[in-house]
Amino acid sequence: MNTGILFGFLVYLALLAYIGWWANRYTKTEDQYFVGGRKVHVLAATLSDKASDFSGWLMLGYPGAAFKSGLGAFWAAIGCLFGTLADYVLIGPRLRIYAGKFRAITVPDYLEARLKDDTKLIRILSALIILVFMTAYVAAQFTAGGKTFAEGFGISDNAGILVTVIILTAYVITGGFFAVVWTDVVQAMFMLLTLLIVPFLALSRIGGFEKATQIIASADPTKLHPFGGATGLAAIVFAIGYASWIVGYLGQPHIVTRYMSVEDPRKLRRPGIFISGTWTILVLWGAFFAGFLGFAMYHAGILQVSDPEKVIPAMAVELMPGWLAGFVIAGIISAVMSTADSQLLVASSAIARDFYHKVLGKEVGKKQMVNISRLVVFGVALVGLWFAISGPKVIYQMVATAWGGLAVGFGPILTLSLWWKRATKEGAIVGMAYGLISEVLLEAKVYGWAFNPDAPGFFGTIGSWFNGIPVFFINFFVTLIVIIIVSLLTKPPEDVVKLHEEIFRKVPVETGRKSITETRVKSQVENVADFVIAKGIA
Amino acid sequence: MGLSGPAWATLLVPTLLGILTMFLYGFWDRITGKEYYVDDEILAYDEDLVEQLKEEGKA
Repeated sequence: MNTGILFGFLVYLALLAYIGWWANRYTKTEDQYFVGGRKVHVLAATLSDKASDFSGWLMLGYPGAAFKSGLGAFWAAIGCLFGTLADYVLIGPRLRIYAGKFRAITVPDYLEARLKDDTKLIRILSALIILVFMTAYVAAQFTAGGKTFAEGFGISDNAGILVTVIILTAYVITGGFFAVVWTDVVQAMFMLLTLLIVPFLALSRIGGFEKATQIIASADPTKLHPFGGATGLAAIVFAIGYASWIVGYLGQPHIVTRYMSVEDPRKLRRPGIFISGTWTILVLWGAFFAGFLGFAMYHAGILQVSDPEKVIPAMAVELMPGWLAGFVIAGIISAVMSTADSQLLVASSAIARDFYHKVLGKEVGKKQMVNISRLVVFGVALVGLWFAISGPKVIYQMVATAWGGLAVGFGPILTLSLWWKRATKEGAIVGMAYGLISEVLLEAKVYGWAFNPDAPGFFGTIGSWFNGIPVFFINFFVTLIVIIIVSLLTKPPEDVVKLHEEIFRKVPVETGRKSITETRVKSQVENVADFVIAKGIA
Repeated sequence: MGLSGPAWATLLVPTLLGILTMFLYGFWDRITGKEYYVDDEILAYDEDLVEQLKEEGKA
C-alpha cells in the first residue's frame, strides 16, 4: 500500500469524523435530522446540492465517456449545466417557500400538503418511488466506493464496499442532515481541486493543447467533431442522447431537498445560483478535459489505462507525487460518498418520516423520532450493502432505471405544482403512478436506457421513431401531459388555488427586508416601537 | 492544429449562455425591482435549533 496515498486519505477521513461529531450537537429533532432545521447556510446548501448531484459519474464515468467519445461527450456537460440552472429557476426558491409554509421536511410532505391529499396516496406513491429507485442508487454508490478503495489501496472490492458503508453510515447516523451537508462542502472542494489540477498537469505533460489535438486527430478524427461524426437528424439524436440529463434534474429528491433546507429562499437566487453554476461549470470542464487529454496521453504512450473510466486515478498516479494522489483518490471517494450520504438520508426519510410517522400515524417524542430515523438509516445501509455485494447484474439493471425513474416520478409533478395553480391531487396520483410503473417496465423490460427498434411489436415501432433517445426523456413529457389532462378534468380546492396565488406574490425589493439606510434614518425610539409592534408586545 | 470553429462553439456558446442565465436570474429581482414575499412563517426555522444557536451566540 502506498503510504503517501494513505496519508492524503487519512487527512480527508479526519475531516469527515470531525464534521460528524460537530453536527451531532445540532441534531435533536426530525426537522434538524432531515432538513437541518431549515437554517442551513446558503453556501453549504448550494455546494451540497452539487456534491450530492455529481456522484462517481463525474470522476469516473464522465471522464471515461470523454476518453471514449471525445468532444461529443461535452453535450452531457451541457445537459448537466442547464439542468442545474433549471433547478434554481424552476424549483429552488418556490419549493423553499412552500416547504416553510407547510413545515415540510420531505418532498412527499410538500406534495401532500400542496395538493391537499387526504388519501395518503401521494405520500405512499412518493415513498415507493424513492425506495425503489434510491436504494438501488445507494447500492451502486457503495459499489463505486468499493472499487475506488480497491484501486487505491489494493484491497478486495467487497472489503472496499464494507469500508465505504462503515464510514458513510457512521457520519450519517451521527450527524444527520447537518453532517451530510457540511461533509458535502468539504467533498465538493476535494472534487473541484482534483478536476482543476488534473487537466493542467496533463496539458503540461503532453506539451500543450495544439499537440494534444494533433495526437487525437491522428488517432481518431471523429473525437474532435461536436457530434461524434454524425450529421443531420443523427446529430440531433446524438446531442439529445447526451444532454437529456437536463429534465432529470427537476425530480431528484436528494438534490431538491437541499433547497428546502436553505435559510432564506431569496438567497437561492443570489448568491445560490452563482455558487452552484460556477462550481458546475468548473468541474464539468475539468472532468471533460481530464478524459479528453487522457486519451491524447494514452495514444502518446505517456499513460497506461486499463479501463477508460479509470483515466483520472491513472493520471493521478502517473502525474502526481504519492501524497497528492491520495487527495485525488479522496476526491473520487468524495464524489461517491457525497451522493450516497444524501441518497441514504432521503431513502431513510421515506420510511421513517413518510411511512412510519405520517402514513402509520405513529407519534413519538422528538428525540425518539431521531433515534428511529437513525435505526432506519442503518437498515437501509444494510440493504444497500447486500445489493452491492450480491452482484453487479441486479444493481446495474436497477440503476439504469434510477435516474430516469426519479425524473419521471417527481419532475413533472414538482414543476407543475410549483408553477400551475390548477394542478390537482388526482393529476398527481395518476401521473406518479404512471411514472413509477412505466419507467420500471419500459427501462427494465422493454427498451433499456434508450429507445430502439428491437423491442417487440408496437414498442418496436415507437422505438424506431425515437431510436437512440433515452426513454426517460420522452416519458418525462408524456407524464407531464398525463398530469395536465387529469388536472384539467378535475378541480383543485379553492383554498389551495388561493394560497398558490397568495404565496408567490412579489413585493418591492425594499419591503421584504428593511434597508440599512432606512434603519439608520429612524430614531432609536422609532426602531424600538417597530420592534414592539413586530413582536406583538403592544 | 487545435480545435475547429464549430468545436470551440460547442464548448463556449453553451457555457456563455449558462453564465448569462446565471446573471439574468441572479439579478432578476434588481432588474424588475420585485422579489418574493417572505416572512417568519415562510422561513419556519426549527425553534429548538434557533434556541440553541442563541445560547451559543450564533443567532
